[in-house]
Amino acid sequence: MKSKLFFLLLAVMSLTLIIACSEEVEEAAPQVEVTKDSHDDDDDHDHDEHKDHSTLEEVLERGVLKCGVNDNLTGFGVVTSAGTFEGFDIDYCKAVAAAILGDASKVEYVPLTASARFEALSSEEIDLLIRNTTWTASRDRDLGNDFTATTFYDGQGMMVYADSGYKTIEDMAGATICVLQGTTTELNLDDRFKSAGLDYTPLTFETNDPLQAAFEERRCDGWTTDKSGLASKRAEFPAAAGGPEALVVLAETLSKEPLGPLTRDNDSEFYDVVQWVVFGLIQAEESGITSSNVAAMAADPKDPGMARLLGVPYGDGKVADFSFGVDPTFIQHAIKAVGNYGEIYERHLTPLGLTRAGSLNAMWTEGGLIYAPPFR
Amino acid sequence: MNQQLKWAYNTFSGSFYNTFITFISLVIFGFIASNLVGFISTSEWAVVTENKRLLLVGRLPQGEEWRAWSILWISSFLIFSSLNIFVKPSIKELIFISVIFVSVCLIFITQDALFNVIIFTTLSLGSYLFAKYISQTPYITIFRKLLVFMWISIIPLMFLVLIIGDGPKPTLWGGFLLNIILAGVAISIGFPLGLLFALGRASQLPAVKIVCTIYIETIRGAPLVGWLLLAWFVLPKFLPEFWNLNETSVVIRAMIILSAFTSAYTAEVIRGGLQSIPKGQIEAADSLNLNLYTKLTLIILPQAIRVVIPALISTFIAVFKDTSLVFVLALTDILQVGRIIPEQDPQFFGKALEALSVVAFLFWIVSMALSNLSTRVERSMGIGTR
Repeated sequence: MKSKLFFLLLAVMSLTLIIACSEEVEEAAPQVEVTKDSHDDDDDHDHDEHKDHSTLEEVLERGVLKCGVNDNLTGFGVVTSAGTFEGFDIDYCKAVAAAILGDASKVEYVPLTASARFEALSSEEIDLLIRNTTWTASRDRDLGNDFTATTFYDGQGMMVYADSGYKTIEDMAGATICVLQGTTTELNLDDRFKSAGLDYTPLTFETNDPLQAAFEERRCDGWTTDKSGLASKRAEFPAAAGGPEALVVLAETLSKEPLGPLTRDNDSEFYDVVQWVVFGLIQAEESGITSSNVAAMAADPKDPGMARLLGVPYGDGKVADFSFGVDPTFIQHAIKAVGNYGEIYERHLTPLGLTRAGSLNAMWTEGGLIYAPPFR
Repeated sequence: MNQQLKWAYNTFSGSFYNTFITFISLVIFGFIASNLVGFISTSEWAVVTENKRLLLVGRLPQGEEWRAWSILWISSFLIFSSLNIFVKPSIKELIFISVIFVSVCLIFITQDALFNVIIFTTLSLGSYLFAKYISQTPYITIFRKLLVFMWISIIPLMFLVLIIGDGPKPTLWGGFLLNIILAGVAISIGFPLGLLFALGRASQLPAVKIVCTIYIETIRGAPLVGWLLLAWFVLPKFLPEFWNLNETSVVIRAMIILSAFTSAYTAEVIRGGLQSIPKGQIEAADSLNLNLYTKLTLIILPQAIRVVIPALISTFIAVFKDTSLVFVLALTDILQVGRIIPEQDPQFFGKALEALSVVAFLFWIVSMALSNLSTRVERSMGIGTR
């Protein structure tokens, strides 16, 4: 008995030793690499305008873009069954990586919770945050972020059963509303009903799934969240509960939710690249450049504007280099990787039933808000 | 036979109350069983069947699966030969284990993995029978030692398999694999550390005692999520060498925190065991002029640990389940996978229950195996009988 226990103890002690050793190795190895890396950098690169924290330079040196994303929002960012990321926001990560590094696969995705996302950006765990984040004043100023440009104009909506007879929010006095807990959605809902002087009962849930179950059981009269979310939930509403036709999304939009990529404050080199990748993809759609014809267009640009966008000479002229700190053909790489704005939208959001025509996300030429400043 | 019938009659319907309770239990049991069968048969399991890979290994890149399979093979040999050598299950238990084994295989088998699953099954069965054979030969002592050695080195071995030859970044480890690795590391580092801290806190040297007490109380004084977030956002600012640490960092930081957390809790459990030792034992050891080391290893620890095995194992089970909190560090453990896959595709909307019940099943198997182990160790040590 005693000897057995002694043996056990010995085992434990040797285990400690093994673990301690292996841990040391684990920790020591990367440290060595890091020092080596920074040493190499000093030798190899000659930074004339070297700033303390230029994310653009860091990304170029690292060769990988660290992109903070959502892994839990259909159409915008999900993990596929093969373990890769996919979605509207993910395509923007790919576009930026393609623009800076020339390779859309050089992205390290960091799936973030809603509460940890800003902290992850400011503590430099990620370079770029593209996680369906609404552009607000406090987030822009207080939290030390810079919003680059809007990629998707969302807004909070209200979904009700068609047979309920509700046409506007004003009809919904005394209604029970299903809403996610602790979101701005909950606050907007309260604002709207308070200002209209209407009574209502909020029914709050932690996640979408039990919320949908409650809505199917008609425990609540309305379901409020972003309209993009409502549209996809409506499109897939189970036939047993009436199918999509049983539901109506009210026309009113309760709030403005412009979503787009964020960088850290005072990081203008990187900020500019990300911003102009977003604009470039919009301009590409306007000029009719797609992922399939971009190579042909770059070989023979139709007009000087297109040549400037793609970073190629027009006729005998020179290449327009706007000194972004990356290859002048960066927009071309981005288009090759993910296509223009319309293609990205078609690929991820159209299947969810989010009609683009007539919405805020239509091109400015068609009455929407998708607009890019001139590439000149 | 007659006796058993009589027993059954007396137990289930001997009196009015017994009949009543039997009836009520049958109704409740029938209700639960029919609901369960209904749920399993009517649900659409596509959300699970399409995401088997994600549930088991997370975002491990394509072409790196052989690492996970090798780990599975090594552990299947280890688990099933130990099952025969150390546990010696009865026929009933063997049937139970087989049912669990087969259901896990059935849930997770795919066309691509068929070959690997066959190897896995053969290896498991083979090592069980091999162990049975070898236990009748004189090589059994060597084999026992080999198994113990392998159990000790299994965690470093798992690391080696995952890292060797330009392995994937640790942040890509995920699914159940990540939970197992994190729990394994946390327990195998946390337990020895906890032992030291318990001894330190029970020490008569004030400096040692104070340091150990502060450590234990600080770690136990904040929730694990808090520590994890601290490790993610704050630790790099305090430790310049962690700054710019390559991708290993988040997983390693999670391991450090989980180990520290485990050690603090184990330390308190073990301290409880230390206090249960009668003073007479220590005085007797002193009177035999044993030195501190022999006194600890021969007198104090064997008795102290024996007493606290149930509490110790329940701490380990808790740690195993706590590993699912690493989702706050952007790691995709199995619970997080269960949470994100219903949003993956509109056809999976509303299927969270299916995904999460499979996750719960896997957690249950490991937790149950651990608690079963604890009961066996207790029995073999005669806890509660002497």
